[in-house]
Amino acid sequence: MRITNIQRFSLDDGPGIRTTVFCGGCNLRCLWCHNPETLRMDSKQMPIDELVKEIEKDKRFYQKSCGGVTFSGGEPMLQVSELETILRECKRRGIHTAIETAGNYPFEVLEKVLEAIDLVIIDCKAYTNEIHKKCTGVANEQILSNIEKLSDLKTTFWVRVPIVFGVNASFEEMEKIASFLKDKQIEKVELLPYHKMGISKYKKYGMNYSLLEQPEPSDEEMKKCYSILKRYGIAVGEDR
Amino acid sequence: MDYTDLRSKIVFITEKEKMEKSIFERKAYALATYWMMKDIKIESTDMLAGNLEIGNISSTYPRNVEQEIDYLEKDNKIFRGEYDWILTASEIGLLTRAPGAHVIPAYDVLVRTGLQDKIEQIKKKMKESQSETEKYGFYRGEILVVTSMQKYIERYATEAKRIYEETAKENLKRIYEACEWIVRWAPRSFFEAVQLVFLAHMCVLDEGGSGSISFGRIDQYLYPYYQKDMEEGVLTHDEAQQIINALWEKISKCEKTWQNITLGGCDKNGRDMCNELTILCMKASSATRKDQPQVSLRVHEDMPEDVWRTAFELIKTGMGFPELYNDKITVKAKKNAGIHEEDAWNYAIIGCVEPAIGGKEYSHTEGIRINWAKLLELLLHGGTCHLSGKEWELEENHELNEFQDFNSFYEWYKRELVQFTEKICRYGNDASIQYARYWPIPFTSSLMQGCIEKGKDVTNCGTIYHNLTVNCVGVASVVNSLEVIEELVFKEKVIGLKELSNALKYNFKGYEWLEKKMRSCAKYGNDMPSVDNKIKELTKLFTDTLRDQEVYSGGKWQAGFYTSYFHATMGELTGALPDGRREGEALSSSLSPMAGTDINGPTAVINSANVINMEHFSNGMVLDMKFTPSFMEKREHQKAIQMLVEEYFEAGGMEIQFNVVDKETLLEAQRNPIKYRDLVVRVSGFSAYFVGLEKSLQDEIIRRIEQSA
Repeated sequence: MRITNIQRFSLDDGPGIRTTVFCGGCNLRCLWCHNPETLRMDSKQMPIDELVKEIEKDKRFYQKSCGGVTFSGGEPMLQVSELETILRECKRRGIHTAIETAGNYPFEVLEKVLEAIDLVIIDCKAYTNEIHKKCTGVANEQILSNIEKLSDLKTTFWVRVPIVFGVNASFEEMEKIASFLKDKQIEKVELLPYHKMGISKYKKYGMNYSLLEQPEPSDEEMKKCYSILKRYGIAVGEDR
Repeated sequence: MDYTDLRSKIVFITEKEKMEKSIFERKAYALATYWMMKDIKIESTDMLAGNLEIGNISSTYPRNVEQEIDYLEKDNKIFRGEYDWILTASEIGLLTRAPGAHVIPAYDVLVRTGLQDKIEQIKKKMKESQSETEKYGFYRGEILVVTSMQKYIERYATEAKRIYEETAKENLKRIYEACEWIVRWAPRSFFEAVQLVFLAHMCVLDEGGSGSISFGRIDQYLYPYYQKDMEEGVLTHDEAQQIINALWEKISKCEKTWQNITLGGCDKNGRDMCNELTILCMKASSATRKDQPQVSLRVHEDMPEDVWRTAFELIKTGMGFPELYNDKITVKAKKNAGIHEEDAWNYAIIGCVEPAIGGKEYSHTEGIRINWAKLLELLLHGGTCHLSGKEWELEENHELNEFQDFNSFYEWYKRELVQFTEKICRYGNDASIQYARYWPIPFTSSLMQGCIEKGKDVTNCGTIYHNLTVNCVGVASVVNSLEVIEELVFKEKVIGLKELSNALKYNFKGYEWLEKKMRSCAKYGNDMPSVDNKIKELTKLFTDTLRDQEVYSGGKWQAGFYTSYFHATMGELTGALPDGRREGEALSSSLSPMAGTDINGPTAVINSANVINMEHFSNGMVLDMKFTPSFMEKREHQKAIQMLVEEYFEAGGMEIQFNVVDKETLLEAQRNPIKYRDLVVRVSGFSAYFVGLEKSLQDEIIRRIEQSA
């Protein structure tokens, strides 16, 4: 499987203590992406059995903390057959599995591996299609439809909304997102405030970054976004 | 009276006057005189009477190794020349020696029984030993120091009363009333108990020569007083907090002195012993923010959530407190050092991180420290220390190109380590016996269980337990270096051992390509079996070796794996090493990964550390973890770290501690020390004011912080 990094002791990629496997390749081009190395072609190939061995190293910490492994990236679903193999291997070993996905592919692709996934974490970067296309390079109909299907199937899933104010996020857009997400069977909705930590990577790889002037959202802006969600009765994961 | 004058008077007493008395009685007399003549200072704002300083008033240990050997040779012709190698070992950084101090006096017994009871005890024993000259002399000395302490406390009572009559300040009334009582009798209240403990501590420090005089389980022995006062309604929770804060403030006036306080723990049935004072004491540290006292927390499976939460509030401040100890493993380790079950469960921490039985044990916990890395360096240079130009005689002579495979070199290192350990233990025995003769410690002995019963000073095996100790420095440095030798010299064959030796001799000049390769080899702390197994094997070899050595007192040799600041100071004397470390740089700290080399995160570090069997680490060890302040802010993150600690302890870890500071702050503090005068950080087994540390130690800490999550 093509991966760019394995990060142990991840606390922000699902519940408990986790190991996050960052997969190479992505079919979106988000302006704010802080893992641009996944967009390059030189991520290394790691044999599945080696990857499983790496993941197993922290098994006692997963058990202690109700954590597990999270496949992220990039877009893990671009390597769905390898992903399926490794997910099943993890499940066989009693390890909780999660994926972080942008959700931009036919639902059938995801449906095939759902039984080996304990938690799906899917992004909702914008409700308005025009905004979505501008920020990520792709339309959002497939993604929104996938969120609906996940809800219909009563899958355990979280939705994440990146907050890059003035780019994908505004209070107006939040209202639309909240209206869409309400009444869906979502365990938790998280807001991810924009941060500058990935910018140095662009410099390192000689890639262009278009949001150099973008500020991080203020505490007030974040608070207001959360209150919009709560007003619609949505379960939020605040103050992670 | 100015101090130089007083000190010369004391020296005169011990070395010229009273020559008809034994050394023991002379030292007792010197201390008594000091307490009679010393200025008593009380500020009108003082909440407690007493002021701490390291007195070493009658020289309770030799100045240095040279003087120690001089004394050994003085009356014992058999030693002449036999121990010159100790001097060489010290000079080249292979060894340090710091015996003495490092004790927890029996403050728990003192607050229960009071001083007059002690005097009655001594008088009774004196009567029984009238025909035995030496013992009788011991008791005479003990009566002198204890009654002198009483007079000393009376002076404080008088002075406090005088200032009270001038100022009418209630805090002074409380002080003089307490002092007037505790001169003779056991405390009646929480305040009196705290005041007595503090004054006794002051007296021990007056006599003692160095830091690491520690308080033991203060939340346990003060608790009955707290409980009684609270039940009777004469003390509120806030007042108790104020008194403890005042104690902390007083203790903190004596900086860089490793005065450790131990909190929490469970009993042998696993029953939790944390109480309100456990929390109050940690809060006092958060409030006062000084480098003293050092705070240790004994952790067990049923430690209450509010204790964990308070501990994290303190950890968050970044001062490095509390250091966390695993009851299960530590008790086992002390039992392996000959401590009985009941006592082992009552362990507390001395100084940096040494587990000891408060009031009952005197084990020279910093007596000997050996530099594993220096030994490896000497093997690679045929016994020549290039930095000093001095020659060291190894046990075996080998040409480096003799070694056809890694194992034969590895086995050589192991043999040299074992032989050097055996040699140093023989010295430790011979040297320690002399302490009873030349460096007795009368007042401290009066406060230790066993001394008055037996009529023997602490240095004369008067206490119930008297072990000896060898600590180690450079362990991870050695293990990483051996890994490089195995990989680069014998597996990949990119360089021969002889040429490697050359590269080290020239501090990598011209060998930058090799330095780079060395740095990329597997390093301890990254959950990699090949190198982790080496640390497991070598630590086991060392503890097995120690177990076979005799202690003249019938006690046991204890192994310690913390490094205090010696990884920097002994690193200055150590040449370049095969792990890529340059000449003079700090060595690895304790059993933590070498600074900057742990790249797989905290779970990997813990997995590596858990490979090691710590059940025979009776003198303690340290594992550093570091997190940025912003990371530590979140309660979710703190809980995750708690789970890491619990897993680490469950799988056999002994000690863990936290550095919570970011690199920028430390660099800023180096540039602007005056602005950061009060920044306290975790060094290694102890916390200290960052700007007061040597630059090499500061740099090592910064390098360690670089790997923060």
